[in-house]
Formats: sequence, C-alpha cells, structure tokens
Amino acid sequence: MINYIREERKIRKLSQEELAKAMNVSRQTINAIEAGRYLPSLPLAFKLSQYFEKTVNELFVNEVFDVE
Amino acid sequence: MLICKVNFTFVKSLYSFNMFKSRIVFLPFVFRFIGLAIVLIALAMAILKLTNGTPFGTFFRFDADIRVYAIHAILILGFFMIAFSKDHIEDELVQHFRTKAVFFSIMLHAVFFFVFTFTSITLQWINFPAIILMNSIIFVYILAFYILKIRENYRNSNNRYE
Repeated sequence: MINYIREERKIRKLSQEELAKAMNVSRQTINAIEAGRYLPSLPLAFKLSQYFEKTVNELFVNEVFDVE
Repeated sequence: MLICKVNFTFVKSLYSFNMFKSRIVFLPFVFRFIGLAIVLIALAMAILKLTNGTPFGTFFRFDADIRVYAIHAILILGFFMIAFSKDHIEDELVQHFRTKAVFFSIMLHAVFFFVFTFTSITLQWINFPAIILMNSIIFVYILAFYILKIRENYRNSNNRYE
C-alpha cells in the first residue's frame, strides 16, 4: 500500500506536528503512516481524506491492484 | 410496522453505541509514575529480604513465606499501573503497539511452557506459583511495549523535519 500523504502535506506546507494536531494523533503516527510502516484505521484514513479534500482512493493506493 | 421500525432504530443505536463508544478505559498518565514508585518499593523490599538471609530460590517456591507473596502482589500492582496507564497521546499507533506487545508476551510464555514441559530437563522450571507467571506476563508486555515505542521514536528521529 502506498500513500500520498507526505506529498499532500508538502503541497499545503504543513509540518507533521500540525497535521498530527489536526488529526488528533501523535507525530509518530503521521511519520509511520507516511513511511509506510503503519496502515491507518479506516476512520483515520477518512479523516485524512476529508482534511486534504481527496477521496480515500486518491490518498491510498493498493500497489497490486490500483497501479497500472 | 411502527413497533418494528422503533425496535430497529433502537437496536441500530445500541449497535452504533457499542461500535464507537466502548473503548478500553485506561488509567490517567500519572499512574505510570505511581506504578514505577510501587515497583521500586517492592524491589527494595525484595532486596531487604535477601539481605536478611532469605535465599533467592524462596521467591519462586510454593511454600514461601507470606511476606514473599506480599512482595509479588505489590509488584503486580505496580506493573499493572505502568501497563494500563494512558500514554501522552493514546492514539491508534499506541494501541497497535499494545496489541503487538500482548501478543509477543503471550507467545513467549506459551513457547516457554511448551519447551520446558516437553524437553523437561527439570520440572522445577515450570513449577512456580501463578502470581509469578502473572508478574512475568505483565513485565514482558511492558518491556515489549517500550521496545516498540523506542524503536518507532528512533526511526522517527531520522526523518523528523522532512
């Protein structure tokens, strides 16, 4: 599973701390998600997609099925 | 028809209540330090007992003094407070670490008992009071939880300002 959270965050010029605060999680969680070490829960994935005004499919891509 | 609808709504609301509201209740963060203090007190008591001439092996025997069991009980209380007190930010990553740590602790103990039951060099290795087993499970859980957290913090520090 790959995600575009780091890219979206950089477009909006946000730090990991700021995003973590907005999502009500720790900075470590955001870092682990961005690095692909941890898959977020469905509620957090939806929260992130709402925050970045994207769909979950646009933020998280399944390498096996979605990438052409 | 109306009764069915009301019932359905009631059941639905109960279901959603259970799904989203019922979470594990942890102790406040400050209990971690109280737990640590209790563990240190128990260890000090154990050291005092050892210096009074009690052999080390007594701590793992069924026919031990009631004061030895008291030390184990105090230790359990301290470990419990450390293990089940909230983190600074109790988010889903921390919950994930907790689950992994519980799994690791139970697996390690299962392997230990399996190995020492069937390869039984000495039965005395698996013959100890249950209170020690409880202490050991919680202790390994705490250890695994902090190792996972420290490892994550270390990985984090490498790309903090990205």
